[in-house]
Amino acid sequence: MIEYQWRDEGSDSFGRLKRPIAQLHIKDKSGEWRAISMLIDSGADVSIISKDFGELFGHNLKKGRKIKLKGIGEGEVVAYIHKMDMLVGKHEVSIEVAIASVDLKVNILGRRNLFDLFEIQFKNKKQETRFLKN
Amino acid sequence: MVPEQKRKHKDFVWLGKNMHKLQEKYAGKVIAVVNGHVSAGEDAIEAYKKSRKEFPDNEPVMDIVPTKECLLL
Repeated sequence: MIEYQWRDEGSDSFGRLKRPIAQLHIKDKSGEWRAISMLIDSGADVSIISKDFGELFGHNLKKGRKIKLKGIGEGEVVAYIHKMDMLVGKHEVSIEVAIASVDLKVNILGRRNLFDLFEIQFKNKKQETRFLKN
Repeated sequence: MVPEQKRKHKDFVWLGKNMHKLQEKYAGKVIAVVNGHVSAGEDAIEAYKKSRKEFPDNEPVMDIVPTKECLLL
């Protein structure tokens, strides 16, 4: 089981709050593991990383399958689906990740593939997220 | 755990403990962290390059420092 402590962050509206962040590694196109923190979002259909991170990891953005993503607002974000290897704890997994066509202010771990590979538990009292490999 | 893995783990833990402080200075920036030393940039490539210039032997831990707005994704 992998446990990630929720992270203390400041917010103008609510003061200090805790967010579920995962610390993991993504393999770049040259085979190097890059260490990155991502927000765990069970409401997100797919994981998404910012355009600049996709470029840093050596991906040719438009080689991926084009999709459109919508949040709660009116705008939509064009993104491209790429297969990426991730290291979650000691588990190496391959999941589809969308690379946004613009720079984002957050990298997100969504449900696609990942939530099939792990049972993910949000433990509010302990303020941690648990990943149990299926 | 090999030393470099240990160091990255420590930097992840350090980030977890210090993010609310880092928000005061780096909100909205991308940061690359090695041994608690922060290299900041407007994007991941800038932050990464700065960090590797200072610490050529260490792979930094990368993060986007959140702004203080609420997130509803």
